[in-house]
Amino acid sequence: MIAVLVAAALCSFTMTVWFTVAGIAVSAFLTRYVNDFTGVALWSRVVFQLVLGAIALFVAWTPIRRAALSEKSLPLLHDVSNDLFGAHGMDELGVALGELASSLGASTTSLFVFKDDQLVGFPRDDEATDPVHAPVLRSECPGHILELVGRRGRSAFWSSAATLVADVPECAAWVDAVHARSVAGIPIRSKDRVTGVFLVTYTRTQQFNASERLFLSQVGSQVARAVEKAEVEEVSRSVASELQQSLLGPTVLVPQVGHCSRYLPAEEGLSVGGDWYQTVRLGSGNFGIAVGDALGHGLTAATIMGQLRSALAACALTGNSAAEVLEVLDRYAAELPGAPSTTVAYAVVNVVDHWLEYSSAGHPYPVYVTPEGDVTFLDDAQGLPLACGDSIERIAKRIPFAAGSTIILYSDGLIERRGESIAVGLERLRAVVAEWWRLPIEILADEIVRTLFADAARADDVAVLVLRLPVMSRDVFLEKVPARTEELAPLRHDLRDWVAQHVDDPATVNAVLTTVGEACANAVDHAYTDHRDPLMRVEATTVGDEMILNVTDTGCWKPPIQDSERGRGIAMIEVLADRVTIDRRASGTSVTLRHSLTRMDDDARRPVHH
Amino acid sequence: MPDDLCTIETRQTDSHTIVRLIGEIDASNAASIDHELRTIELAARNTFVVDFNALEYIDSAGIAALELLARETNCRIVIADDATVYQTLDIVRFNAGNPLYDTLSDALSGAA
Repeated sequence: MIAVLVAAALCSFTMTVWFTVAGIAVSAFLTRYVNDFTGVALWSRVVFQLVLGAIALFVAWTPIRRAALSEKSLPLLHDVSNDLFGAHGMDELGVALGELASSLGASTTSLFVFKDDQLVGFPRDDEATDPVHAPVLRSECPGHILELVGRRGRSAFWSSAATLVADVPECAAWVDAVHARSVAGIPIRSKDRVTGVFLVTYTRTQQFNASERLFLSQVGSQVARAVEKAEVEEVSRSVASELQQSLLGPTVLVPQVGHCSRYLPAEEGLSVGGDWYQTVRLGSGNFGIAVGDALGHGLTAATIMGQLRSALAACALTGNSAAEVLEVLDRYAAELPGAPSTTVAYAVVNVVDHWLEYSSAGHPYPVYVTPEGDVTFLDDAQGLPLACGDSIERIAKRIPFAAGSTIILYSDGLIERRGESIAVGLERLRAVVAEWWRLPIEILADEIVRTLFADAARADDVAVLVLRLPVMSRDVFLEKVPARTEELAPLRHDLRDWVAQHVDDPATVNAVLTTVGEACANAVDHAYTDHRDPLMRVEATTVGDEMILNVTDTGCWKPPIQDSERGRGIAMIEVLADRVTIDRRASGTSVTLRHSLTRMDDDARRPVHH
Repeated sequence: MPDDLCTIETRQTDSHTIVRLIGEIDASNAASIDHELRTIELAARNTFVVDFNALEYIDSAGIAALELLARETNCRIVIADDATVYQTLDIVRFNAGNPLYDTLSDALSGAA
């Protein structure tokens, strides 16, 4: 009776019924078989009731403990799903999954899913910051566990490593490597099919009671939903990114000016931005260049960007001043949903009379570098972003733009940092340009981006456009000519004159001329045959005791192995230059050659084979 | 064939036909230089000697053409190791297996 009372007091209706039944059965048993109501029998009845009471207490406590766990597990589950759904894309989700281990009191948490018929582990191997995850990810074992839970169609819980190895012998080495005492494998379903497994390992033994199993399964279904969301996001991102890239495309190399552009998507999150750049040949020695930034992210921003970019090219071709071009673009943007508030910096460069005219619609100031290396921001023609307010009259400013001048247009992603004034970012950019302005523009563009993001991830996308007028000053050599064999010699002679200002040693001069000559010969060979007028650009400068040269063309280099003559050319470049970098971009090939100007031991480079 | 980049000086002795390449050879004139040298070599009835010492520049296209010519005509090549293009030719092991002569007199006497 005590047991019944304890059960009733502490526990559920079911428990009370069970103890009542048990009590009646015992009473019946005693009445039936124990006729002797002596002290001994009474004593044994009391002992029996006490034992029954103790069992009742124990059994009753278990659900109380469970109830306590589920009280904790609900907010925990809430936190877990917040973490998982806050992640964008599979890689971020992978990181979030790896971090679940501590909240689940586990040693590792990981996800294995099939992606393009390949089993992929998350967090990604290189993102598993703790050494604990690495052995989990680099094993055949998770694949076998996935196969098992897929076959069973339900979660698998192994309280001991031995039971896991009994079920999946392939995991024997793995449990040792990850020091797993207990392991849970929760199937991840997508459209009623098991597509992956959520794997939880513990270094302490887990009993996996019913509520723990239920909890882990609930976590598993949150993971499955987060995976579905992440995959949808990835598809959307890749479509938007592809659209962005194809809308931007490579800008056509134009003769008479050297220019290059970069577009870099944000590194954080999945946002594809609306940054863009544009170059337009306007005729009469005029070239239009622009960088813009449409509001918002994703597909919408990409499509607006595409429309504005085309519209700007058409407006630019009207041949009006920079201010008028932006005024026409204002009117266009006013009619295009999502386009108002886009910022644009637009400039016209005249290569005959050497001037530059710029106008800015709320865009960060272009950077102007004089042929002597003075760096200034062009901030005298600022206006509102596109289509803000009624019929804005825009202003433009014209500055001299001599041979060797450089202008850099960029989007705010290049200079802005969270919690930092724009002035700080502008100064950082100015300092980088002041240090590296002499570099060939391809390298300058890379150097700007590399330096500014050396210690910070890109929170926004970034567009950069660099334009420089051809020059042969002592500091900088820039020549741009048609990619044709008859241009090789005149170009070489100009370069020889320039190199001679910096180097006396004939072997070094020959090495420089030969490497550049081979790079140019490659450019001539592989210039697009269907390109309207293939061009090659040679740039050179000296930094310290190093000469840095860059040859950029509009072609795609064949792998050297297919062509013995070109293969020999590449071999010559590799031997003669101190460092060679070949970048094959969508817009063409860029070869950077570095020659040391201090030859310690000339003979070291001249193995004799006489 | 006139060529602004590279002129070919020809000299005859009783036993040798000597050509001296003066200037630069690149992809734009490699074929015409090759053609001109072969014409001279065909007419030559004696040992054919090509002097590279006055070359100021040669690229891989020039090397490819001249190497084929050297193989096929078995000519003697003169190049001193302080010549401007020596380094370039050395890198690609120009005419490997055959002697290269430091000076014209070495080539004429056949002493590599």
